[in-house]
Amino acid sequence: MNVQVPVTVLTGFLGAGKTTLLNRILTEEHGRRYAVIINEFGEIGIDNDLVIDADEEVFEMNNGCICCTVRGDLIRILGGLMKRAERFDAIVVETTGIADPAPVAQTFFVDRDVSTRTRLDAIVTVADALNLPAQLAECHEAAEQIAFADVVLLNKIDLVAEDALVAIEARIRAMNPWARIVRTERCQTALETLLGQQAFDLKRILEIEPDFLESDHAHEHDDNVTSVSLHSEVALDQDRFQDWFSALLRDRGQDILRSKGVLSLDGEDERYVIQGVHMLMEGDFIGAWPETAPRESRLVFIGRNLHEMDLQAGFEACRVR
Amino acid sequence: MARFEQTPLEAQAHLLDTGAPVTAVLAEADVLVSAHGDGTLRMFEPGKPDRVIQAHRGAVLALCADRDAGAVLSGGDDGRMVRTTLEGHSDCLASFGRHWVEHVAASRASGWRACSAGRAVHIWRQGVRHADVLEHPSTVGGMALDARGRRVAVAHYGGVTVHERGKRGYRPIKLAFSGSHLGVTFSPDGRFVISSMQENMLRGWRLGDRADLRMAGYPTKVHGLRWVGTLPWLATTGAGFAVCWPFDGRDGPMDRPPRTVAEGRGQIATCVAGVSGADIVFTGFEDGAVLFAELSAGGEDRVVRGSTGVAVSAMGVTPDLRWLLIGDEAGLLCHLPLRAAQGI
Repeated sequence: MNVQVPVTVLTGFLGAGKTTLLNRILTEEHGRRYAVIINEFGEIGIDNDLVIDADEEVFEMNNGCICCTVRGDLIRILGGLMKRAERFDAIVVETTGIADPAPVAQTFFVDRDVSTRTRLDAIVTVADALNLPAQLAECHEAAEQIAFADVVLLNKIDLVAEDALVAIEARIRAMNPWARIVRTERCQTALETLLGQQAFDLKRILEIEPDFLESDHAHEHDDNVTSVSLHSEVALDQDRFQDWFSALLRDRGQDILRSKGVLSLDGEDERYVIQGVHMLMEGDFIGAWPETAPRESRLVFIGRNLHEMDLQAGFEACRVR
Repeated sequence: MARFEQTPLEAQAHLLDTGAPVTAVLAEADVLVSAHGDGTLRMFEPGKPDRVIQAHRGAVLALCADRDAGAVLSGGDDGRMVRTTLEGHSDCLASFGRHWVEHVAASRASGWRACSAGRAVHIWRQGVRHADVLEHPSTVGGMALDARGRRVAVAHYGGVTVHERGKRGYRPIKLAFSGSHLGVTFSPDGRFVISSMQENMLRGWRLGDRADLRMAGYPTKVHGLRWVGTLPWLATTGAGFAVCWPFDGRDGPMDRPPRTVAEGRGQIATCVAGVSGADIVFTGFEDGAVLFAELSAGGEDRVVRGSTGVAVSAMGVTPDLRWLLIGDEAGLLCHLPLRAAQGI
């Protein structure tokens, strides 16, 4: 009864290929039952009881947290789906092209009913390799969708030359160092590369290897969304880290889109793992340090105006003296 | 690990594993009706065989007594509102395509039937063929008719709207409070409207002067609201016991603490049931236990059913307090004769 159904969030601009992907999920013989929650502009031609319409209803919470918005419709629909007698292997939520992915992700942090019955598996962003540079220039939502992604499906690669693809990938990397980039034509990739990622499982964060390219391509564009990776071989003081990190999220959480880290806290034998979406964060001790791995802390931020936050200095001040 | 031991009363129970989550239970005269996640309604009547009716194609999301005695009204994720008689005959009264029918209500006093689909509430008045359609700024979170059946309260994002039917149509009264409102109920005397919210609290208004009430302090969201007893009390879920607010006097629960009964030993109450004539409440918990409690001071809790490990999702009791029907999230139904238990 208490198995949490994984939920994959599918973002991407209109025309990027979300509908193609959803049609594949609904029609291919994969032997699994997927419920698909489509948005009001969805173009799915398939009408069956596994397709559910949603109006994106973004609600503010009365918890004193200015950027804490949730998807009210999603809370309602996921609650309704869990009442069905037939069980689902997974649920896919499509967002509108211009949607900010934050409210969807925050819904899983904030709502207890949602987080006990379902779990956020991953945010998958379908990007149109040909049009992504123009979309990044014109709409901040495009940058947010890249920034939030656990997987970027770089679609329509047949329309773009190899050197341009390399440049686009470098640009995506600069904004989001941990997303896995999957190159496709017409979204042709095994569904297993997109679904069942467990990207929000704290245990999986232990495996993240942020990919910071040393390439100069990344700096050719003045992208508003950037990432910062911090590293320390000296253990962190627990109290100072908690004070710094919570103040940071409280004061600058609107600009910090996502954060992830594996920390070595002074006096603790286990690794402390954290992840955050804007001002919301969760953390836990997950297992002892492996003997082969160095005891070091790594913390990655994705957001806007990160250079204004003195992240390096703030982080270093948390080190045990 | 069971927290509440099995009871002798359970030996008298009729257990039925339907395999389909129980989404609602109500008593229509001495018949108990359960609604399920596979679209079925099940009816339990003493001395008669149980009945199973396939009323919907998907999950039944809402259930209420119909305006005519001897029938129930249900809404489902198949987009339909269905009327089903206690003999087991079903009729689809309205269909809304891919919109779910999440709330239904009906009044014997006025002959109204109502349901919600998306942002709209549809009302069918007796003798009028067409439905009146009332639109709202966001999806309807909850809906209730008052005892006279002339006003409908609708919970949505940003507050509650009460629509009162006058000679020239509906007059909306907007009761604003920021946040998402997920459930709503009128007090039996029609003086108060209470809503449950996305946040762990209730909000309320006295309609006469719009004085507002705030009932907070719950550790989780409040899903269950039930008027019980003669005072009356508003029994609620969402805490480690049943939280019961007194609605006597002019001010109701303003500046008064609730009475808390049915201590769940660390479990959260997920369901409350009772009847209007008796100051008692049945409380179901997330571990499946069901406790009986008297609302008079000093009453002791009694275990009706021990822990099962599966949350109680719906519960109903007949008006004569002879039969209780407990449903859970896994689809197990437990039909209990209450008089078999001493004192209950």
